[in-house]
Amino acid sequence: MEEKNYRGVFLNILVVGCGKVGSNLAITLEGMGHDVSIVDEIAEHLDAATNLTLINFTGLCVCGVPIDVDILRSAGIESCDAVAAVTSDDNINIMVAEVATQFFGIKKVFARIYDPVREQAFKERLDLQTICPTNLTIEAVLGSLAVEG
Amino acid sequence: MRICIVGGGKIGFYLAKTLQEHGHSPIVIEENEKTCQRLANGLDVPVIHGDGTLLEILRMADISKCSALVGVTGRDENNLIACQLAKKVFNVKKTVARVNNPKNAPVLKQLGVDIAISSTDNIARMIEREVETDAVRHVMSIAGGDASLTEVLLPENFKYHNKTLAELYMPEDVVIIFITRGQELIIPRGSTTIEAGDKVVCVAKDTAFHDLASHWGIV
Repeated sequence: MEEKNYRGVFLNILVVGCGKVGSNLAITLEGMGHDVSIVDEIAEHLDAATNLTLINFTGLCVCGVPIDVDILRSAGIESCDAVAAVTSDDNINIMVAEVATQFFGIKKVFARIYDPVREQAFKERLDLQTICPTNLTIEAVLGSLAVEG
Repeated sequence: MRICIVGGGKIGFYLAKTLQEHGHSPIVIEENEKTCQRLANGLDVPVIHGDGTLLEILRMADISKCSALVGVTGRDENNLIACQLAKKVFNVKKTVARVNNPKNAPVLKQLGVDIAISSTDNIARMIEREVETDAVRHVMSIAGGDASLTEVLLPENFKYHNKTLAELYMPEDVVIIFITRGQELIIPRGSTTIEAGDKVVCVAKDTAFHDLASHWGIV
């Protein structure tokens, strides 16, 4: 089923930030057959010895400041189809997403923004595709409460 | 003029101080509590303790009444976000961001910051100019540091001595504004001849100026 859905549309995807979400996202995408590279500021996050999620990861890992255009270039952003900015810092995610969209012209760009107010502002006024884990968690809790009731 | 400064480090502190001395009313937003205390003790301006990239904090600082927001934290992404929020949400007219990594200067400009100032780049350029030669005097920076008003003293053995301006090599992005010969002011025309010892004042993009200087044999 899965194979059918994704066959023929293997993408080049850049994941910025390699915490829990970043590394799991990268390994899942790779498992689907996509070409994935990762950028993170901290070397330990990219090392399979300290970040066990990456044990079977075969893509390119670049260690460096994610808001540096040369670091993004060396991670292959210019040939990317999609970028996911999932570092733990909202502002870095926003800046990476804007650089990817406006500087490198990438169409599919996602930014994770923890702060709901900030997410709202950037989604509405700056046309970013955003994901707010805070809101998602709240919705999930409210949803399960509603089912119980 | 009400001006909001995000970031109260060395630059933020002295910027607030200078602005106040020049009759403006700055307001400083700083994240670190200790730094806030130092600011409050050293300056007679309102200091807000909080993250200047949060809408709530910016609202608290009443920045929709500010005519400018200046982001001078040590992180480019925070300066960018503060400027964007000021511009898009609070309709602040002018935003200025400090750029820590010179590579980010064009990026920030493209992402909507009005003026991006790179301290690293500016200091490097100033030192370069000082070291280069005595014959070139930098008068002022224009267009955020990409161009300058410069005075050039033509050397004794100037290779285009007594040539007219029309005969000289002149890059596209350079304009000679005036020439002084001793006490005499000369408004340049194509037929004007220039001599060794003249002082030539020109406006030029930095790249074009380097081109000119090497062709004229000044550097």
